[in-house]
Amino acid sequence: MTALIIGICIGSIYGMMALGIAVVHRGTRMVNFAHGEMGAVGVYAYIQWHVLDHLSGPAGLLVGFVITGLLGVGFGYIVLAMSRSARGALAPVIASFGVYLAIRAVTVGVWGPREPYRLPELFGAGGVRVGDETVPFSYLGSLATVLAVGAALWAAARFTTVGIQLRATVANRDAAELAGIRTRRLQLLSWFVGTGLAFVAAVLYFQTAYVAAGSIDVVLISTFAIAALAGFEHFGAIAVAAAVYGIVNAFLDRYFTFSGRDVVALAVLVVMLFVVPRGLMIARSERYA
Amino acid sequence: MTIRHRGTIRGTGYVAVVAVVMLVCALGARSQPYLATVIATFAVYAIVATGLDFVVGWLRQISVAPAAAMAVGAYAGQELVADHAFLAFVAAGGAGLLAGLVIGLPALRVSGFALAVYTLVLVLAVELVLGSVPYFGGTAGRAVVAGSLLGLDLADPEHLLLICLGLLALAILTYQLLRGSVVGISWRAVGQNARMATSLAVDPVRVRLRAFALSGLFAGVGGLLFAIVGGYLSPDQFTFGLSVQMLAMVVIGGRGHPLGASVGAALIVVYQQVLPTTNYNDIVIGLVLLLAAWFAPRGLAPVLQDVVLRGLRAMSAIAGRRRGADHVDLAGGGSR
Amino acid sequence: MKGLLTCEALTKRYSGVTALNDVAATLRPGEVTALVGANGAGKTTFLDMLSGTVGPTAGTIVLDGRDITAASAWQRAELGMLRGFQDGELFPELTVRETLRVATFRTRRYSLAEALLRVGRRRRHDRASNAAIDDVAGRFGLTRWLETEIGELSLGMAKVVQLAAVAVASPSWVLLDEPAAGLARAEVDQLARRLRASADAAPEVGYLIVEHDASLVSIAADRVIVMAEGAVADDFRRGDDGFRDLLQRRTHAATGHSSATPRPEVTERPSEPSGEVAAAPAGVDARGIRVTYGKFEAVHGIDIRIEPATLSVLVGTNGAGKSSVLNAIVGIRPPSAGSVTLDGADVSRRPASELARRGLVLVPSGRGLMAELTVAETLRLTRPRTRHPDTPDPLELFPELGRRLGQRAGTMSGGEQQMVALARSIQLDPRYLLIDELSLGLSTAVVDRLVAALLELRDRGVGLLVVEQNAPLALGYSDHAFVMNGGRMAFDGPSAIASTRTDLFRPVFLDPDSDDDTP
Repeated sequence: MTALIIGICIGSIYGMMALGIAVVHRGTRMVNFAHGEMGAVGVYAYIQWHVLDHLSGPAGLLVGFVITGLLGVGFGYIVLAMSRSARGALAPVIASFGVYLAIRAVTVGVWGPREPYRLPELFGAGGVRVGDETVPFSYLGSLATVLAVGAALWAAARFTTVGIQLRATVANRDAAELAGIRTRRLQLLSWFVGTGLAFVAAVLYFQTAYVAAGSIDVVLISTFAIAALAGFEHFGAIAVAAAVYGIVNAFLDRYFTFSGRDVVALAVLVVMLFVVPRGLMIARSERYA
Repeated sequence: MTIRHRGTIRGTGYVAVVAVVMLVCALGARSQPYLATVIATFAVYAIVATGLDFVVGWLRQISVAPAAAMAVGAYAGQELVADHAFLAFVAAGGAGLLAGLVIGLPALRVSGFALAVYTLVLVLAVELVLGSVPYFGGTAGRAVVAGSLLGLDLADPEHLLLICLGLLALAILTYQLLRGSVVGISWRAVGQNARMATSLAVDPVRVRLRAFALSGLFAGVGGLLFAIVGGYLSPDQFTFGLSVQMLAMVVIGGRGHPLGASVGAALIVVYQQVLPTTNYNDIVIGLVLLLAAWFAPRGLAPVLQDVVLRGLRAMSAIAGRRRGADHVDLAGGGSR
Repeated sequence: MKGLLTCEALTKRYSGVTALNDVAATLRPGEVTALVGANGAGKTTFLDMLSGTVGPTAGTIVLDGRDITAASAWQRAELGMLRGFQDGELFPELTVRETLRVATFRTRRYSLAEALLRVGRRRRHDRASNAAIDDVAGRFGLTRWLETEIGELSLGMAKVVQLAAVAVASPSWVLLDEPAAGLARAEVDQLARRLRASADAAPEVGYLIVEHDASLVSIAADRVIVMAEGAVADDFRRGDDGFRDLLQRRTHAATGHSSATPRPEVTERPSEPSGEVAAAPAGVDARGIRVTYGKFEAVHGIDIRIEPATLSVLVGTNGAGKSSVLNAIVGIRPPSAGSVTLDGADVSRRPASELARRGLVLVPSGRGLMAELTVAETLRLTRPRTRHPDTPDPLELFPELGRRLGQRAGTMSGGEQQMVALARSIQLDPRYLLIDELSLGLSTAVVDRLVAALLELRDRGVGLLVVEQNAPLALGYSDHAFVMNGGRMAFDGPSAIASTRTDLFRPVFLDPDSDDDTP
């Protein structure tokens, strides 16, 4: 039971990360492989602001989010420029690997390769007792945050004009442009929000882990696999895949050592990608193709 | 080895360039073990990157798994390399080939992002497995004791350099032989327009599997060489970052060009040697990769080739002999 | 009979929509069979299923007595069924020779190991392939271009390479999808004669060609299969009365110019001062518009003017460059050269969204709806914050939409979709409204309804430019006509004059249903 709850909480963090990838992919048809690194930059900015320089915590979160979002917008701008100059589908992907390398080098250079940092606990210590075990507040807080953000995004997409315009742009960019919608601006907005989600997910993840160079990679690999399983598109499929992955992870945790757990979890993902490489809910996306 | 037709002889020009460069390398590194090791490292990178180009340049797919295939090759060959070096290389190549097949299997059904993600997950999984299974020496790694191959002592940097350069030459020769054959052309056709290639009786499934397998073979052999050159083998050598560097070599050097991968590998090795090792090194590689993808989608090799050709033409004009022009054309045929 | 290609009960459904319904046909080698019919009649689906690009929902395909229904596309190609595609897309970074080498894969291949190790055998193969390629290249006039990359060729040239590739592969069946689309008049005739000659020279080879162009069919075809709504409607052979009928009566004198190098004829149009006058005249002026795709220029510098309170039409065949012109004017695919002014202000190279908000609006071809958005959401995209009293209310213009606000656009009929698209555009309060393909696939009643709405807009002072393929229909309802052919303006003048100029148009197969509503 506890494992189930913890699993769903962990899964929600992966889901949030994957959701960001999907938002960007919907907006620009592009998978940003530097997604997690951009989120990590935000986390480091938050650490610098709040942990090292002892400035206000909430403001630090805002700063981290905005910096991450702006990194996304900057790269999104380049991706849009590339697609205008018809560089082929591979060029932006390759570029995102370049950005990954560069950002990683910057974070390692500025904040050190091995120094582990600890984020302040946002949701307090302690936890809720379920049976004879404890579910920490940090997990429950993560789940609550993810649900709140997800619900807010869903409502925004459905009921606000900007949300509907964004959906129109995603469905048919040219036609949206012809309807007077500033599609470029909206695409950059999707980069800002989507990449910003990477920061949110990273902060939640680091509630229970040390921050060090590359420590985001473990999350990211699973996240990309989850996003791929969901065809990079379907928010529902992301939620399902992330929850399942989190639960599997939490159960594995009971029977394996740390690295053994990751090996098995990754093996599961590899096999899943192998069996359904085109994603779980591809039938639905083909209907609209 | 070349296709003679209407006076265009492709390949001989490249072979001449490669032979001259290698001769200079081998002679220049005499009794300079450090330099020999650096050049050997370049050759190893170039071998793996040339293999990666079958996937990136020909199939137009992105794989960040060459590091995984390298690791598989290195670990498959490392036990044997002390006493049966030749067998070790066969084992490394075979294991790499199998790894390439595993990497390539999903390519039968997906492409683009999903495939890139799959290779990404795979490379991390291999890294993790190697690190957590004690047999492989764990994260601490283990030393590699090399024997001798074809009478050359693998522990001697100069001998090792000769072997690395020889294998690189073999890799480029293979690449060039395939490029002009109906086999290689059909691979490139599948990468550029699978639908049309299919309707000309090319089976894209077979093509993709073979290209990935061959790419894996190159990476497997390269991985074993990598371990021998370093004298050391540990899982954290074969990271995602190494894969991205390989990708950078292919893209910056020029995908689809016989010397592209080598040019890219040379640039990155020289860059890493010239600059003092700091944590910031990768910034430049990353940004150059970004700019290359943006502004020079065909990479540097075609540009260099143009410059060299123009230089040769100018020289032959100065010498007042038009005979040189024919020779120059032999090396051409890349971009036009 | 050897080489017979037959299919039975061939059916294809896409999530509820039946694209092809219970089609049976027997195709004979040595014949050129043309497949004609309206857009959406199922011609390309039929071709796709024969070539294995698309699997059938039901039915069987038999080649030479062998059931190939389950065979994949490359296996069918290996059996000799070669397929060409409408877009003429090949391998952009392969040279012409390399492209033709791919085509030799079927007949002259060697393995990976042989390529590397058995150099002698490989060289013999390569020599033989190159000899065959030189031969075919000579016949197709490609010898000069053998070492050129496909990406640097024009579209017409790429299509010739595609045909040459099919020829190099020594096929038993050739399946072509609109080989004439996008080609100039002279190229079409040459293509038709080449097809005829190939068919006469090799009676063991069969041809199946999807084609709109009536003259190509009349020169090349032995047999015409007419498709409508996913089924075979008629099947004629050369010499049948029906065949003659089809070519004489059932083709429209629709669109396109007959002379090879048309000069634009401007009638009753005083030349405009070039923008230096202080009070610039109202209207949209596009001058010297050129549109290029890669190395291929689709529009060769045309002038077009949209007057306020005028309903103009732009007619021409598939590939004449009509849509390219509209997309260039509104900036969705900016022109490579030329300028556009909107009521005297230079708006060249401004984003389409800005032009839309400044009153120059395009309804794109295919209507540009978002399938998963509801009607209400679609209309919300362009709803002004405050409605100007003079702006027409789209729900007043199309009251039937008011009952369907919650429906997703993707599930509506073609006519309703066109209404939603028009309604969305009208809400932007356009002074100039451009419509790409108003009547395509719509019934006469719906077209009348839409035209009535356009006339009302015109009377309110809106300048309209409508692209149509069906010239008689378009000339019937418009004030002013532009006729394009091969990327050039062939005519610019009143519609009444254009309809008397039969020399402007050449025969094309259109929807058999719409035959009845034209005089």
